[in-house]
Amino acid sequence: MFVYMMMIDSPEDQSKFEKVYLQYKGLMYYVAYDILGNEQDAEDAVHNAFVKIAENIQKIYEPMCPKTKNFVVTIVEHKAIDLYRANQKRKTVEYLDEVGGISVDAQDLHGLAYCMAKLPPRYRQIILLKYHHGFTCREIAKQLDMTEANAIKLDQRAKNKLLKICEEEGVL
Amino acid sequence: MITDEMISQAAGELAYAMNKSLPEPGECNHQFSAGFERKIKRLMRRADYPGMYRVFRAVASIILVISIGFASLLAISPEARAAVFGWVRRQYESFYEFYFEGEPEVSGEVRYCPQWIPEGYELESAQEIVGGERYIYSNKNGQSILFSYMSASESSKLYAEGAGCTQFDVEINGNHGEVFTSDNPEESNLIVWTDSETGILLYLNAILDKDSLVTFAENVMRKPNIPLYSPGWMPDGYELIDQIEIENGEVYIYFKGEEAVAQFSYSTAPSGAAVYFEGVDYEYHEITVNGLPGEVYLSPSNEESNVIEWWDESGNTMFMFSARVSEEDLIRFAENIQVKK
Repeated sequence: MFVYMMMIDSPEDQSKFEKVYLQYKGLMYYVAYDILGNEQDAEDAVHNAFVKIAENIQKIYEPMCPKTKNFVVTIVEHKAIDLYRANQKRKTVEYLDEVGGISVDAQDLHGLAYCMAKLPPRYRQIILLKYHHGFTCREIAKQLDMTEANAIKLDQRAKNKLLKICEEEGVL
Repeated sequence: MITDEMISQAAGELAYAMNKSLPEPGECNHQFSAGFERKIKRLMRRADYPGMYRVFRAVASIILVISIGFASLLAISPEARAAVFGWVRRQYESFYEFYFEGEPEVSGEVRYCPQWIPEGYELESAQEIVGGERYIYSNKNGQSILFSYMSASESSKLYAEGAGCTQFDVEINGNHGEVFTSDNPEESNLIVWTDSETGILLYLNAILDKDSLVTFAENVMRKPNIPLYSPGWMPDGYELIDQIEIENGEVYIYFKGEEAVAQFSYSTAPSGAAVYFEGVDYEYHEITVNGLPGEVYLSPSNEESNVIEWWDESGNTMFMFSARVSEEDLIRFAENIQVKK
């Protein structure tokens, strides 16, 4: 028996979710398909992403804004990479550097932001979710289906990796 | 040195560049499969079952007619009111909807916590939701138990889907409940019951047999209103990284640099709290913290944390703080713990 929990609790949130869905479902599919290369898998990743978006709908203030666009593509990128990993049955740490995510055009970026664009997708995702979108490690852990302790570790590793890239690039 | 402020600013620039690297949403068209659309509609609480809405509308009409017919009776009969107002289950084929009918009841700050879980399961997460909480337990086989509850309100609804389910009426600590078991042993079963004193709906979804579901439900107890604590003083250099809610308590995690970790935790349990840590050759002696009994464990190595634990027997609360600091700092930390609420 499958239970649908009440994730969207008000008509306003439901309306907001519908707007987010209609606005970004195509783009999210584009991102997921680019990573997975398979229609069915891409749809599954998009669905998994929308489950997480529904759980966080109260944190989305304006459906049609760059921040929301970035949030939804970050979540679907993560879900697509997770699915890719599951399909490949590779569950080692090395996947961080192996799986390609969204290809970020960094030509207009400088300094720290330029180094950030070079982070592996999962590190980039937690940096964006925590420092741009303002989620706590506990919230990110639920969004990315990991334990809170792992989210804390991932945040630390992402910052360590960022520091290393900065040193290599002579940014700091 | 990269500060969080620097990261936040750069993350904003990265997000902008990332958005620019992607096409505009309007340029991306994909004809999603019917299965996908159906799942999304369920997510939006509008399960796309052809005909279901017609039946729901018909049922709603019947309820309206019955309500009108009962109107005069309800004005004079509390028993009849209780019989109609409350949690209602509606069913269409294999789809179930539980919702509250009538004036929502004020349940106050009532919280629940399972006092028994099946062997092999551990708490994975405990999360507050609107009007209640959601607990998820899992075992090594990847099986999960979902326990949740919700207060009576217009927005509180529970949906369940299960083809070929068998329904049983059960009694949970004097309250009515229903068990729905699946014919497929690989599918989860559901138990739903209400606390008649608070008007709260509780449910449990898991791959457990009927007896285990009932045992679990019978051992769900109202939580005592426990106080929350927070540190009032911290040794120099430690930065709060996270604060985690656990059953009947909290854990505070601090980092000093990249390696040194300090942890403060406390737990309140009516049956007695316990704190565990592992250490070899620690020197141990008794101390008091603001008159409360406690113990200090000092590591033989500077590379390991020292530990202080103390307990408030009147409140059944146990506290622990571990860090690479002196005994004096451990005690100072303990003496400055404050009640949050």
